Amino acid sequence: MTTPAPYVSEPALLEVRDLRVHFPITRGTVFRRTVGQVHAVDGLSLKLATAETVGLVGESGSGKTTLGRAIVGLLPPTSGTILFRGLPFGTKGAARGHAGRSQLQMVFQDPTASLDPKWRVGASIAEPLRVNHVGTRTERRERVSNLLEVVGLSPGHARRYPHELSGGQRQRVGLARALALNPAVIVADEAVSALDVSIRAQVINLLRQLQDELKLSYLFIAHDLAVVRHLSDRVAVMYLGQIVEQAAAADLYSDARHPYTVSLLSAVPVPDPSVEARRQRIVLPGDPPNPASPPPGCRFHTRCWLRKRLGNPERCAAEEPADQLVSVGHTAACHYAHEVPENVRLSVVGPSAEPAS
Amino acid sequence: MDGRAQAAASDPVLRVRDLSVRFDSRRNVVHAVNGVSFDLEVGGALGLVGESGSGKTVTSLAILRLLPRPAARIVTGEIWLGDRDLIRLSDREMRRLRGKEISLVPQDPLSGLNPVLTVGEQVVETLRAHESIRRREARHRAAELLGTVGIPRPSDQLDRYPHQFSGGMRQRVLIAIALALRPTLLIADEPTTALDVTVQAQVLDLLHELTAQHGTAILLISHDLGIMARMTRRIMVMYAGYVVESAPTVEIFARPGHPYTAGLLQSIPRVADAGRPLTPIAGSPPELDRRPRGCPFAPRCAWALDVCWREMPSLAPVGALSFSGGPRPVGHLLACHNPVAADEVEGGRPLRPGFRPAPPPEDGLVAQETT
Amino acid sequence: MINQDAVEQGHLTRGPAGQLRRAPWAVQPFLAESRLNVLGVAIVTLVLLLAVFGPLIAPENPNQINLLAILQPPSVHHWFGTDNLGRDLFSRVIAGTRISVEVAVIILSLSVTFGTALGIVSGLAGGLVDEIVMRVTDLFLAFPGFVLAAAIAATLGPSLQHTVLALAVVFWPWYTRLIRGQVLSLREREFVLAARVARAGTMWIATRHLARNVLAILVVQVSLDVGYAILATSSLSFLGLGAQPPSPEWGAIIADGRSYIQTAWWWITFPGLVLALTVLGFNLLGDGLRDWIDPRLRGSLGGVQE
Repeated sequence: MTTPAPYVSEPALLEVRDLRVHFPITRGTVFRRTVGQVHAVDGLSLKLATAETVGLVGESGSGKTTLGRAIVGLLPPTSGTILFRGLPFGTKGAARGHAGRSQLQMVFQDPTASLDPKWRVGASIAEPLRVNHVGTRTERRERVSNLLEVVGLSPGHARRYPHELSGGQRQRVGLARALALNPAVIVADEAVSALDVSIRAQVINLLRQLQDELKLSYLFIAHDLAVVRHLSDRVAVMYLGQIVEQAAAADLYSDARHPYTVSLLSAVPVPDPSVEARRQRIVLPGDPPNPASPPPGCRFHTRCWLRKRLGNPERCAAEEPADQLVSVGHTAACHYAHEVPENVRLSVVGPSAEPAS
Repeated sequence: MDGRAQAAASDPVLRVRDLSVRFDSRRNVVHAVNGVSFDLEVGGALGLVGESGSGKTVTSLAILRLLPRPAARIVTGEIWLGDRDLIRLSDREMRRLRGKEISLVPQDPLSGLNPVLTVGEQVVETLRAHESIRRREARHRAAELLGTVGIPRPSDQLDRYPHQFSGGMRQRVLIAIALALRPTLLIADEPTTALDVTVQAQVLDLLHELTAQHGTAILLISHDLGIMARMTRRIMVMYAGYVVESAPTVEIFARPGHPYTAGLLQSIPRVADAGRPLTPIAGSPPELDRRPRGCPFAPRCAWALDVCWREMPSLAPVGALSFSGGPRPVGHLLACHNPVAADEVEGGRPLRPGFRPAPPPEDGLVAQETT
Repeated sequence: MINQDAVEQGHLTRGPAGQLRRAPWAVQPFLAESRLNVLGVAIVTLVLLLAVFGPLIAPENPNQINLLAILQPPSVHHWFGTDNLGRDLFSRVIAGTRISVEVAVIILSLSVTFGTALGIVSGLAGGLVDEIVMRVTDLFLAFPGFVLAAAIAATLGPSLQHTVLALAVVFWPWYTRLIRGQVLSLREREFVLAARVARAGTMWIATRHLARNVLAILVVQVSLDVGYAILATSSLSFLGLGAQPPSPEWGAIIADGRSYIQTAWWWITFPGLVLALTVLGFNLLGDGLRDWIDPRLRGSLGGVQE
């Protein structure tokens, strides 16, 4: 994959360049042999500016969770660089993280599993402070009370255990913990997926509010396209370890140019029966492929409806597509990005002039 | 929109009357389902919408008589499948019905299939449990069934194990098993929650097609209103074990009457509209062991009146209630003392001047009885 | 949102400043859960009391030889009768209680500490270290426990101390296996990941997170194992490899009385009964704890959420 078209007018706060994260597949117990690699993230470049939200969407095997974890330092990159405020973090073999790394924090998907059940909630929030020797005990306690209020809970909650709180409250605690060290970037890995529908909106609003107040940047990883749209300024679509399309949120949803994005949008159920009855549906055959053995050429070509429509051109199987510039800040990695019919693009999320096929 | 036969109004395939289910543990009593009643016509498509604690899964388990014993008890109610009351049937009689007349597509394909049996064996097992056919013929039919659910090269796949299939394929196998004997009723409990969005679209298409083809009535349980919009013709909204609203699908979306329904619709993000602010529902889903004497939604309700805290409204046709926005057609049931007017839906609060939601009374929340 | 019934049940209490605190061990609900739990707790309490206060209530010195009262059947003076040297068997059995409990405590202290630490290290380190530790563990586990203990005790020479050592060697691999398994699953849990994102080191995670989360399972396993430790010790003593005369260890008493089965049935019967009862008590306690811990993790509806 080549570098994406320049978009960000301000200097990027966080930049990922040609990142690859591969996991070895081993066989045998006593004598381990590496028989293959899982290409979880395979040549990915991304930029995130201050107070910006970039949404990252993809399905299983897309590598979005791996990317998130690599950015916060949970997984070592196989190659490529991660730059924060212009300075690189260590790659494989380099010394363990430095102060800059604490500026990148994470909120996890499962609010229950993300808190130690034996720890009081206040202790969980204070953990980043204690580990990094920040403040005295009293100062930390005050900070915890502060953080609880910031996320919409009361300071009294600090003495509770996770099982005494509801799912939404636990997620807020997770958010408070992520804010403890005053990060610049928060990676939200499916942060609202495990919450009840009626609670999701609360947390989404909270995230947005915190972004305004604290100038936070979010890398919002999710599979739910509707939620991503609400929070994101820009959206990147991942497939098999690569970004196949990147654009401003509004552009992506109304003017999708990569056939995978189009089918993704087409698959999202819309809570409006009249739209559901009349929208254009493009159903992808088969399952999301295995990242251990990605198809040659364009990784999507085995399931691509556009390719079929165009008579199965050879190029798709032979040559990996470079990013095509669709419009300012909008790139799509498809040889035929300009061939996506307009009526298809517009009607996958809204009513089409023609009835559903 | 689809090829479903018009339902004969006098022949519901499933009639549930006043179903109540209760869970007893040493620590507390939970009324998981409270007085639920509904009909499902032949070939119909009914959706049960709700979140945690709504009682939707317990309702489906009650219909299938698969509630965990002795913790759960059906306290009252009748469940009529055709001319039989399922609650009165013995375990053996229920076993004969399950798979043959009523079938289930569960949420998690991984735990729905036996990991030590091949896929073929499991389909064959279902077939032979209800019909006396020879093994060879059963295998043949099993391969056919796998083909109808879109599994490629089905005869080869019969001898593979569930873990060798992807999530979407496993769910297809479960659908094949569920529809193997052409049941009159299919219960699908969050059938696509564990699946990727593109796979979800495939599986929903499949369910839609097959149930229409066989004329199977489907009871679809989900928290996802998008799926409901697509797959159902009627929706029942449940909260804390009560049905709070029941109406044709189009009505639910166009003119929701219950504040919870309206709140849900306003709080879910949609792919198509940008920048529309989300109006969340305040508060948290109900805790099942404590609730107000009256309507369980009162603590979160912007339309709450004093009477809402005291008295649970009964489910009644909407024509009987007064509100602005014109009459609604028959068939829209609502359990609410103070329904949402059409122009109030978007704002998320009543538009009547000077209105404040009633605060909880002194003894607002009570523990459910421990009789 | 306070879980009100948790307060009512005593899982939470109010501290002096009115703040909510978690009761360290909710004893009463545990007893209420099942009658077997009550029985288990009762037996174990009795055993522990005897171990601590035994010498104070024993009517006679367990080693007091009284040639005028040999092989007396159970009577008012000698509740369990006497042996061939006139020693009061009741006093001997009580003294044996203390020995058994002490021995079990030492065996388990050694094996649990070593085994758990090794399990945590192995689980966290992974790679070659984990491989090596696991293979060594497998090696020890491959021997039938009792045979291995007997072999070690015989090699070192018969004595109670050597028996204790031998059994500690037999027990530790079980704990390593158990704890390593727990650690493997815990280390991928999000709260551990969150600690790592906060730049917590391995020691911090091991001591502050993992240790506390394996405690419950450890407690269950230990309570089950106490019974086995006592039984194994007695068995080795019975074979002559453990406690040596004149020690009143239960197995040794039974060994002495073996040839007198027909003439003095009480000699082996009472110590045997006490041994069996003790093991039963610890087993019941362990079982009860295991069942108690499990449903609490799952929630009061037993998994059916809605």
